[in-house]
Amino acid sequence: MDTCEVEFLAERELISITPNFDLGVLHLISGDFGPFKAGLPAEVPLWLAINLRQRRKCRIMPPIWLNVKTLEEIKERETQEKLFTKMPSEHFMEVAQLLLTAASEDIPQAGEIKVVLKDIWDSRQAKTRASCSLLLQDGGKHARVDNLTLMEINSVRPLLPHSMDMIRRLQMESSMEAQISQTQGSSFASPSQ
Amino acid sequence: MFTSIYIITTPDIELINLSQLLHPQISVCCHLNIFKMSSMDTPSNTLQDSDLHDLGLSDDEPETATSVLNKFQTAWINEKLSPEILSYQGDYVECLMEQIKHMDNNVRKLDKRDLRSGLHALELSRIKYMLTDYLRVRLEKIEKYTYTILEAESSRSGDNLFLSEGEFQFAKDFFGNTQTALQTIALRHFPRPLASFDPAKMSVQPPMNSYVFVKAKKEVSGLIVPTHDPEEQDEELDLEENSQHILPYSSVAALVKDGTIMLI
Repeated sequence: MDTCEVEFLAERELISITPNFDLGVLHLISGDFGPFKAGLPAEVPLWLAINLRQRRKCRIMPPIWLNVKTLEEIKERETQEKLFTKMPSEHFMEVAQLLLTAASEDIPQAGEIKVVLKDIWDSRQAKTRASCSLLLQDGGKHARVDNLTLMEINSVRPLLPHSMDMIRRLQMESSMEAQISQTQGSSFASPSQ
Repeated sequence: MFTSIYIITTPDIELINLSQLLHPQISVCCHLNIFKMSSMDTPSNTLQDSDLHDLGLSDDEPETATSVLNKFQTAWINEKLSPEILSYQGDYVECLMEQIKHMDNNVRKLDKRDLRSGLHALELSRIKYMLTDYLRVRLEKIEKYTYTILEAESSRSGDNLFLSEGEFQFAKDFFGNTQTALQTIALRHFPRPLASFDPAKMSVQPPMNSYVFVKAKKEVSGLIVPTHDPEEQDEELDLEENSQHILPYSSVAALVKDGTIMLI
């Protein structure tokens, strides 16, 4: 899957906005949203929020986890625990990225948030790489990947499944060779004899 | 043929000022039994509801456009990530096409300066992207695994067909054309003993054992993960609800098809 398609999926997450216009209920195929009253918060999908924000029709209210304090706590937990911790949203990275690009003025301390997010992302990527190489060295057949977000799964997508597949093929070939040499054992004596 | 009923709230009722649409309209869409209902609660709605009961169709879970969209999104992602072709979600595709057409017409009637027209248009292009990408991914698979897919399809019948009519025709044409091309360009210049072509031996098989990421929507117990070393035992695995795993596709293929787990 393409990275922008992961973002596409993240854009269906709901987010609160404060509109500066009045409009009745918006009947979209993906659901009904609104009614919109200037100054009163309403919940809409992210793509709608960003579109409205770009046209300066609303202010975006950042999700409760998108502030320095909460993210620092998450980062702390992430560095202490050996396993992946649960993220506040399955699309935390994409949502944060989209909001920081489209509506950085609506988010207090946007600069600091970016730094902490990058730290969280980096420490999780380091864990991902470490566990991938561990899995491959052990020749694992399956693994549990709880709490990995879609973006992170996508980042290891071409490489990890492919390598595991390659290992499986090599194993299959070597076991087939072993079988063949067993059945033909006597005729193929070792070269030293 | 299609048993489920789509009770769809027409999302456009308020967009149109035509007097005949002030009352919710109920129409049956194309070959799907889509009952379009307005979200407004009017006597005609309840009337239709009781009609549904009379028809004995009330047992079916009513589906809204939103739930169709969500299910289609899952089907789209599954199709994108699975190595083999999955069964064609014709009823979802047609339902969404119908919705798009309907909405397209209504958006056109709106004033360009109306805030809603842009928002509706944006949503439509998002859904259109999903639809076209779904069809595109399927065509790519058909082009790659033509022979295998045609072979498998010929063993299926009636309701179990995996390809849509159009896709089946495309697959047959593509297969025929490839063979003709090989014949005219290369094979007929070969010495006679080499000039025959066996598609069964030459065809590409989908990599069914390739690894995929999955998420269990329900609990699964006793899933067998085959090992390829004869000295090792096949592993047995329990998947908890909402847990995520990386596994060989072949071990979960059936579960993906029946919707117990989804690919991520």
